[in-house]
Amino acid sequence: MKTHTELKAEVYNALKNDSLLIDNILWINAPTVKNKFPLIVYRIIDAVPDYNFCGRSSEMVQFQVDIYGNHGEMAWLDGQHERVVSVMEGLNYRMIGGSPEFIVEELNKVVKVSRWETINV
Amino acid sequence: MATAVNQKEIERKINNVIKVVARSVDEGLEEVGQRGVTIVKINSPYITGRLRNSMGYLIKGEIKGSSGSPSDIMKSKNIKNAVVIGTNVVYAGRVEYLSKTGSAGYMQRSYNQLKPIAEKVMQTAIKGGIGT
Repeated sequence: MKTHTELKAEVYNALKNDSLLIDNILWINAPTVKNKFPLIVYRIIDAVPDYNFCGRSSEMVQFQVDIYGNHGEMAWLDGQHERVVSVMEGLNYRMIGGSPEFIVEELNKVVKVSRWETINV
Repeated sequence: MATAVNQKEIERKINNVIKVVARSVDEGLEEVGQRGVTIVKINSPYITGRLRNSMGYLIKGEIKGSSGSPSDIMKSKNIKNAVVIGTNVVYAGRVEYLSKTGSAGYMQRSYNQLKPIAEKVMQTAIKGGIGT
């Protein structure tokens, strides 16, 4: 079973290596006004243990990927989201739930959120 | 003549089993709803209690388990063979996805905790109904 650090590194490298995605990718809970935008933020939401038997174990790991952009660039945001979908599906993650959008007033930005899960064996 | 009676008898027994399973599914879903609302309320962040109290479950067109104000309770729909757990509080989605205080993902975590419980509850309910 991979460690969470290895999983995070795997996701980071995959997002970073995609030439159509922005370069600004951070492992943080939420950005502040000090961060540069546009920005992609990702983190682990939950890890649910599945089995642990005879030295073998597995868990379900769930990531959240947030894409922050400007109000007038919704089409660009959608394009970035499509790239994130390709990258995460390439890593064998499955998208869970929808991809809601929110206005973040304190940053004056729009964020598109997606959640992903995989079985870590 | 004997074949026709047997066929009717078989149909009658099959219909009885279907009714028993349907009743068992309803009972199982009711228990899943109650347990699910408890889990979600425990995991919901709390300041004023508005979000926590608004959590309820929808089963057969009826909302139960919520003690919030009427505008905060989710709207009723007649959904068959399912239980829906949730809220109508306007900021519930923002807290779920964007909260910075560690509360983000409270619904997802609740679902993760409830899923194995729900499977066992439904298995027990249906097996109990059939009598196995």
